[in-house]
Amino acid sequence: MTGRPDERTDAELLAAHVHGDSEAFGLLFARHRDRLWAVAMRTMGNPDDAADGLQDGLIAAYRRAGSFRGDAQVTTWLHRVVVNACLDRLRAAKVRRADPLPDDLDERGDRGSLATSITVDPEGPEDSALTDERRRLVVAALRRLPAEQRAALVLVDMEGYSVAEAAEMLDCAAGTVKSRCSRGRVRLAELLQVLAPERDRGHTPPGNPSPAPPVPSSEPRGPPAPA
Amino acid sequence: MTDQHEPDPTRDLTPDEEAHVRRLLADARHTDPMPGDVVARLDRVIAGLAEEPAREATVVRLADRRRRVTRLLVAAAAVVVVGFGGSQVIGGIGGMGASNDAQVGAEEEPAAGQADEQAEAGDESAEVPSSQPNEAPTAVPDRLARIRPQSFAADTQALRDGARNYVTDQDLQSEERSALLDVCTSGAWGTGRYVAVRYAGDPGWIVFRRPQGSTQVADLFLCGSELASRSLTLPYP
Repeated sequence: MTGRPDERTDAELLAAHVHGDSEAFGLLFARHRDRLWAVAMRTMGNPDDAADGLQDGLIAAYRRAGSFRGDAQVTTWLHRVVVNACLDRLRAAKVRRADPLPDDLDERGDRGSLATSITVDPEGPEDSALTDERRRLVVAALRRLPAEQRAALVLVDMEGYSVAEAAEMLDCAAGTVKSRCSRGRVRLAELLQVLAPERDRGHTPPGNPSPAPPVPSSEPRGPPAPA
Repeated sequence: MTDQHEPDPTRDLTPDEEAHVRRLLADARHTDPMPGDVVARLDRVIAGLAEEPAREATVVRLADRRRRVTRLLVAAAAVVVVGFGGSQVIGGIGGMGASNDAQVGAEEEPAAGQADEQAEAGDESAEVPSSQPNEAPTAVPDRLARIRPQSFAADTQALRDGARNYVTDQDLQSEERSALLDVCTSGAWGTGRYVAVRYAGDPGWIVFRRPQGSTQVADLFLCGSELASRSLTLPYP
């Protein structure tokens, strides 16, 4: 796959692909792959599944390019195909799974795929470590959401697409995207209470509250004072 | 005492809480580029896909579709006659069993010379895919297998793996066979293993492509459409 610059627009590349340009699709994909990868990573939760989902989407987009009618941006269409491929995989995995997901995040993390998604910043200052830990918890919590809510949040809150664009990508009404985002945020807020702002800095340590001061007594305790 | 981590779906977040959650999500965005091994893998996939149209364009002409369907019928019947018993056909269709492994393996990653050979020799064989047992619709589903849109991947994998659900076309009532082949004449969809299905009520075909390494692509074509409606990569075997 060559990486030579190509000044054609996305739509021109897609049209060229449909008309038999064997390099056009590769160029188009290379142009958007990092962002598609980001979406797949956060939707699927780990690199292996993300690569599989992205490959499904890639093949679907390649084969269905002729159905692109130009009523959306090519990048929107690409995201739509990839996100739907990821969701298909998640649904299939859910069907295949004989055992339900454990409630405990750590238990899930120990299974490997989640653990492999955790990256450690080699620069390693304390702030960076804190940021990494926070991201890890957010990603882990995100994985506990239903796939549709997760996909909506990934597109809107992580990737910064508008609700309308996300609706187009998810092939649903804008109101549905809003609703999924709203429910997903509530769920995340519950799951991520450990990250609430007041606990970030100068917060009261978690745990039992400090014992109350002793109630003053009107009479002194202890051995009687010597006369 | 209530569990503070128990979500309350009816609760609305305050604007501050919502902003905080959104900020956390934005901060957790994946920012690393696609890893090199994934780039290489997907580039290989694209290169593999790019080989297909040339091969298929050489061997498929839309004007021949009608003739191809007729041949398809004849070839499918021939395959049954030459002794593919019910269970054997079933094993061949869905399970990619041992008997098919050699053939499948031989199909994988043809060398450049082989590809040309295949393209030439394929003028007939690809035009009438059913002349090769591995690629032919040698059996049709017991009535049409249902593929649900919301569980496309699971149903398609089950379709491939659950071969014993299917019977040879001899076992179908004649009107069913007729309806299947009349309604679902296959298009210029390339080589692969064809299984007739009903998707969201619409008849069509799932085409299981030649496995590539540890994966196999399945395409859904609805009747009357030249384009794949959905595609899926399945683990293989």
